[in-house]
Amino acid sequence: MINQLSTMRSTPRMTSSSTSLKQLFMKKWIMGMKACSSSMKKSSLLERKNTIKLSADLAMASTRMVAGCTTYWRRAIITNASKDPNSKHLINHIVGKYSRSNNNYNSVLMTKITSVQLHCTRLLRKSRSKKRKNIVGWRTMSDKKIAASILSRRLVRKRTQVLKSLVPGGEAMDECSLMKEAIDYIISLQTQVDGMKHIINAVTASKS
Amino acid sequence: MSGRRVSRQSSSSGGGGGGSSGSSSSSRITDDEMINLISKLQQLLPEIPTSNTRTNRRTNHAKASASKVLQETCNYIKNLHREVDDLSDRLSQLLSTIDADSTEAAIIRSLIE
Repeated sequence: MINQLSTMRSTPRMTSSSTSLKQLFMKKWIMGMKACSSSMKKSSLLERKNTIKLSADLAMASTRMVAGCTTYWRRAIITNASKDPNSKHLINHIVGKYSRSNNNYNSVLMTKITSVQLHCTRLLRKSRSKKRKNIVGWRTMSDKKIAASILSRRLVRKRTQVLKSLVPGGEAMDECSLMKEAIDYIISLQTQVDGMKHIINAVTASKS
Repeated sequence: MSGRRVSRQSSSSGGGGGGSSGSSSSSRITDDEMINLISKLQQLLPEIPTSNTRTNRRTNHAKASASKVLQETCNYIKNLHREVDDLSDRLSQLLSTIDADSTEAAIIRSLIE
């Protein structure tokens, strides 16, 4: 998958594969909104916006989704959405058969979270012991280098935490897969935004 | 325990490249792979036009700082989330003022194109 992504990036953004992805997303999104159209007419502005957003996320998650796919963020979106009983109709419509096979995401998540928690407590213990070394003597170059590397490592760790909170299902991932998931997630988000802009332009053009 | 400390020092001498040895021991990632991923991520991010854009282009091939790339990634994802929010807001407002038939016709037309 990463190789496909790299070939996609070497050409300008609107390649044939990205346009077909965009069309697939738009089709799924509109299918989902049509399924809820009766309830959308009655509901308030905020409820309608949430339905639109949810169907957009589900459409994004189910695009390019293969049965043996291992991206966590897609499954995380679907699992989080299926927790709400109101959205089950939408999920069945957009995601369909893959929703049943993704039920094991929760169990995988729980086992990974406990192992990550154990790892984090070990890291915290180590960082506390290292902090005491920092205070002594900043004068020499090697000390400054060590301090800089410690600072950079802390920054990276802090920002990795933020990234984990942004990517759905990121809490359970190790750094390497988090980066790969982030790359895939950003590409899908770009597709989502492009598709939504396209449709909104079409709607506003038809209005005028 | 001591083995882990040794690997940490080696990663810090490589320029603080993300602390890859600190992650789960089951997936042994090399520093090269990490650099590869970071550069790919950097290519996805939009380039921010600053006053030093010329100097940036010259030093573009230098190894990107991992923490900067992570920060840019987080900001970019937040921006994309906000854009999706705004767009769905606009669409819900548009749908309230338009009757169903013309909307569907416009949407079908846009899909065919």
